[in-house]
Amino acid sequence: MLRKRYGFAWHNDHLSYAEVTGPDGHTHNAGVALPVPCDRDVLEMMVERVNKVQEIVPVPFLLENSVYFVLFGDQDMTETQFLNELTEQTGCGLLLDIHNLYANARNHKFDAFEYLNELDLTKVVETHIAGGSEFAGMYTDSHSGPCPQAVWDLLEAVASRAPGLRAITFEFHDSYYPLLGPSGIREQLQRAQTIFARHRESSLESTSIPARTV
Amino acid sequence: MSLQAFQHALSELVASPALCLAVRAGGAGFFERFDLSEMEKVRLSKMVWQPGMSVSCSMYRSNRITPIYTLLNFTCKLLGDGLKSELEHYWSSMELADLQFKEEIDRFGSFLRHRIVTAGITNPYVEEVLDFELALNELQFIPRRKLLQHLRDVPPSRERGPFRLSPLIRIVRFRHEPFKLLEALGRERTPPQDLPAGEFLVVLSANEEQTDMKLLNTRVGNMLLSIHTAEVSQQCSSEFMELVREGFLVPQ
Repeated sequence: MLRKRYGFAWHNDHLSYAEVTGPDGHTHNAGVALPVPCDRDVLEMMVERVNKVQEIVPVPFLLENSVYFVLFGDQDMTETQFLNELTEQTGCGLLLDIHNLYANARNHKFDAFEYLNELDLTKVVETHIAGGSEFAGMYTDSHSGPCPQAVWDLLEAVASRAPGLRAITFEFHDSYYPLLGPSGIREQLQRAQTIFARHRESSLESTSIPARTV
Repeated sequence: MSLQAFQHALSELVASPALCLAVRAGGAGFFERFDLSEMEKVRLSKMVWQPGMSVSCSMYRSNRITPIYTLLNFTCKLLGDGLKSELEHYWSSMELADLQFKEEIDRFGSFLRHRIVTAGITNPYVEEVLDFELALNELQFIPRRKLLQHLRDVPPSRERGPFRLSPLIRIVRFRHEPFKLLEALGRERTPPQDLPAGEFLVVLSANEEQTDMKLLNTRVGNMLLSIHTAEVSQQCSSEFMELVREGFLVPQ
């Protein structure tokens, strides 16, 4: 029904949660997207749920890596291992939010390019890029301006190694519109389109999902 | 369902810096409320010390304040420095929240009305500006086009009445001159303390694309209010028919 109405080629959700069920059975909003631990039991639950989603909605389903500010420390797997297992076991795709990856790498001091080396980039169908800002001592995914150079570098790396990439979305919060203005936004989109076009031909050959413009 | 309990516990911590501090201080009572494994308790105990927990708490508050500050902006400005403590009270008394903008401001509005009566919020303009903003928001969230179409579809046999208050209007009672009060707030100024006092009835109308605000003469305003409370079902004075022409009254 939804697919008929909106004609979407794929759909996605975040690898995080924002709704919580209390002991009384009522649900409420957590107020902020919170990460899930990359543990075996969580993976099993996610596999079950992703399979259910794919059963109900007959278009490719993608999971998106989230930004996180707290660390669980002793998880069974790294995030890349978790996502690789999840995509392997369910056949779902990935929405790689490059700015989330950049924010996490910056806040938690890991190498974002190493993350890309570990992730199965053949599963990436869409990427998100954005700008962010410092907030209370950490870098946040506030969608508040142009992409940092590091995000462009990461996009270039992903686009060259993700044959299934079909879309790049520049995320931008409208309250920051005066900061960039129409020419600033156009510049970001053109830069993304140039990178997409540079790697598009090879990626179109390897998948049946239609390409989308940015 | 340990994972569900863990998620619930983490969300409660993110919603309350005071709770995080209590857990830091060894508040074991917190963990007893949830069906957590030992590993999950250790994880949460470590997480409350991370800088990222403070950031998450701040983001939670930022996300919760957004609908209130956006849609009840004048009320927040009038509360001034008192806003912070009112929000603290509100958040501690409202554990459950869906964070939908409309529901959130309705809840905060009810909370503030209660606080005006019980906690002595002294600013004389808060109550009427709150009523005004809640009424304005109600109009912004109604299915305007659908209601207009419904009103256009009224059969000719009902066009002569009886009448009811239009679903596209709201009446707000001010106790101070409303235009000067709202103009000062719109200009980011503190409203003067000596605004003319009295009864001022204002009608907000969404009959046009842009919500319109009009000061009613008190007698006409009270007539509209009495129709609203079903004390008067039908009148035929020229003033009454003018209200019909204005679209404030519509066939039942």
